[in-house]
Amino acid sequence: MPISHLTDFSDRLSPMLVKELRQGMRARSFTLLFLIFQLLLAFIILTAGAAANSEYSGSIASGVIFTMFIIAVIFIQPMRGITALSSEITGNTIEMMALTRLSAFRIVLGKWIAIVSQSALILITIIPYLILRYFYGGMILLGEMVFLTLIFLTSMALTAVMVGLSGTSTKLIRVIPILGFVFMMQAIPALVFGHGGFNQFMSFCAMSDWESRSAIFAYLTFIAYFGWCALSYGTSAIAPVAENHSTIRRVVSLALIIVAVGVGLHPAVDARIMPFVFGIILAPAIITALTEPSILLPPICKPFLKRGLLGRFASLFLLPGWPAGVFYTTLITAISITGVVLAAKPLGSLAVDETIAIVALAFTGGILLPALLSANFSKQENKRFTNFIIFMLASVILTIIPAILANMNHHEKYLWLFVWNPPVFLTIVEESGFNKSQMLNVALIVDSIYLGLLLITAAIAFRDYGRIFKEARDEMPTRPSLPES
Amino acid sequence: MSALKISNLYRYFGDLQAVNGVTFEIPHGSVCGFVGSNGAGKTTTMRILATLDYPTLGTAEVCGINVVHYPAEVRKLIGWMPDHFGNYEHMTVLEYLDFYARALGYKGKERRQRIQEVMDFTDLVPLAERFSNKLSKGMTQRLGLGRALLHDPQVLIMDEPAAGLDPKARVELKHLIRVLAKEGKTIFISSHILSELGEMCDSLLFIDKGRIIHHGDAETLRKGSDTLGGVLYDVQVDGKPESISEWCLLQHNVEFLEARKLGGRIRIGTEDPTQAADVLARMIKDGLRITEFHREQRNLEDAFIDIIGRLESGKPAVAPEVANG
Repeated sequence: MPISHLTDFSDRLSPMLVKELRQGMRARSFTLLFLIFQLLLAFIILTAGAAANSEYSGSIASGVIFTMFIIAVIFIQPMRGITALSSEITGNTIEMMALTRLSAFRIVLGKWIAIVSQSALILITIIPYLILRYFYGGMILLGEMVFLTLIFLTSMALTAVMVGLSGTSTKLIRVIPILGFVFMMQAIPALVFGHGGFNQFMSFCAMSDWESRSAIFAYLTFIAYFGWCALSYGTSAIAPVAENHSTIRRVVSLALIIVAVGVGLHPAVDARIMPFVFGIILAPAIITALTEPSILLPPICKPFLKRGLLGRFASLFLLPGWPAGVFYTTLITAISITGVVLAAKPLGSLAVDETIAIVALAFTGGILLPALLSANFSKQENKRFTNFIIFMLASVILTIIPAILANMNHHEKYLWLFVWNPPVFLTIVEESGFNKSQMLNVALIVDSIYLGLLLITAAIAFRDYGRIFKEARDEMPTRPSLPES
Repeated sequence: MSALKISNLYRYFGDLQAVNGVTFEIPHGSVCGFVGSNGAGKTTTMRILATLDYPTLGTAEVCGINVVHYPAEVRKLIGWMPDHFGNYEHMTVLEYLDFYARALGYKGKERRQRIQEVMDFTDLVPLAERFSNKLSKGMTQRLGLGRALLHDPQVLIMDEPAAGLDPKARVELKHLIRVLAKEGKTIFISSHILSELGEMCDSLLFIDKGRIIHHGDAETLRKGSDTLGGVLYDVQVDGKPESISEWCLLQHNVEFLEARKLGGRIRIGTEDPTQAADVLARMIKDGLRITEFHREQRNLEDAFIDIIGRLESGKPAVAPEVANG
């Protein structure tokens, strides 16, 4: 391609997207996927045409087409994002990009959009086959269109998760989602061909009632939130340390929690779902906040200093790094608990379901313990997230093994020895031999100890920030102008 | 105002002190070589200047702009060429440069023109259609230099650009650096090949264990660190080179420095040519069959080894024109 013809992509497109599309369209993984997908679709349509007399041929054809589409865009396409950022990091090219005008977020966004646009290409090519399938009858048009859209949006969110996680330095962390995908794939046949049938699910997707509409809206909100959190996490992973991508993430999560508190007050909302709603918002917010590197540079402090006393107070919760993350976690957890209580109608009438409370404490402690270990035993700042996940996996293993042993030997009481590991409460909460009130108190004590230790660790780490704030304050009045070249 | 200025810079990685109180200044339009053994702190210092790392303590400025406080401004002024960088799969040289030109904000005709200029300068035009990950090391370095020059930076920071290059590619790279220096760019370059740095650089910075141990021009370094004085000679013999070493031990004012393939290097502790003639005569008299005997200029490697040796033996590094450190 001569230089004069370097106009194959418009200047308006993101450079990152141009790069990714140029590379991606030449990559065999996409070309092969695309061709095989088209061949199989053509084969299915022809086969369904041959069996057009059967009353089920239309829905079976739809089921097969959707199954293939799901495999392509929910499994294979997001998987292609697994090395999106890590390949740039290991190839030492991410630093080259950091020196350009591309921000870390634009780099991540470009990576994500490139894969999503290829998924969109697959989506577009499926439409003619669905139109052909329409003539075999039995099609719930709106339902199938909504389902198609949902699959695509889910693919976008999962791609975002994979691209975001690809910024982690350890392969293990990047491989974990693959196991999740494999597990998820097992659910596809049940979803498409299983009990209740494909048509029943399509009727739900047609959004004919308030319940299905609100369920789909809630689903879309959460996958958008998860996808954004993942992209934001990936941005933090590759951004220069002088850039702050964490504060906006925390503010968005905080805003969502406040919105959820407001929604919970609406009379039509079932108060019982609120713990799950808060749980879904809290999980990514807390995990990222508690595992951020604690490197702080003066440019990050300046925006807080500019806002005076209020800014200094906000920095306690919103400053990047796990020390402020601990205070932030405490704040949003407290707001969420308040939200759950306020959602009870009439106010205060919510009888505390001990089982739900124990489960919530088990999950909370399951995050606090690895966070505490990661805060104290991570020597490398950029390994905090990886260490957190490893400690979390260890905690899960230390839950499963004692539970299996206790069940085999019928010595469930023996599990009390492991209550220092909060997820253990998940295994004993349903055991009849335990007093739930007692269990709730123990879980509360264990969680409080971990939170207290985390707060102390964070407060000690926070003291070191004084020098950085002072340096930032000294530098604030002057901003240099570039010398003329 | 200096092009590069570092004051009392420290960088710790846990317990490791990578940079330990480094201070120096490099004026505009000069070429400065950065010399040190592996792990001495060269790359860390350069990465801090390139805004890719941050100091634990101290300040670093490029054209008077603090690299920590205003990284975006600094990036507009510098071109960074690391010792190793990966190239992309399925991307031609032209597309590679096009991507970075777009990322640097160039649009339309200006972008194409800038790419053309850089490709002409680095002689990449014949390689335009080659995939960037299929280039030889020398070609890759030219591509890296082209990328670093796309936004016409005032300061070029090059970390071991000649590492792994064959002699031809090395000569080409040296030529490009000379041209850039003539254009008035400030170049801060690290290398292990001291002789090449000596030819190219206006000044040399020696770093060891995170500290600057010498800063001066190549000529004063050659002469100045020579605390023993005298002149070096390369002697080639017919027979075992060890014979020169053994012979030197018995001589006054003659020191055996290093063995070579067919002989060795010796130092005669005087600059008087007649003394050298006497030494040569004694060698012949003592049965050494000399095939070659010529005066050698003291090189930068000698100076560097001298300084390191003095430091290791607890003596201060000889720095006749110490600017800093």
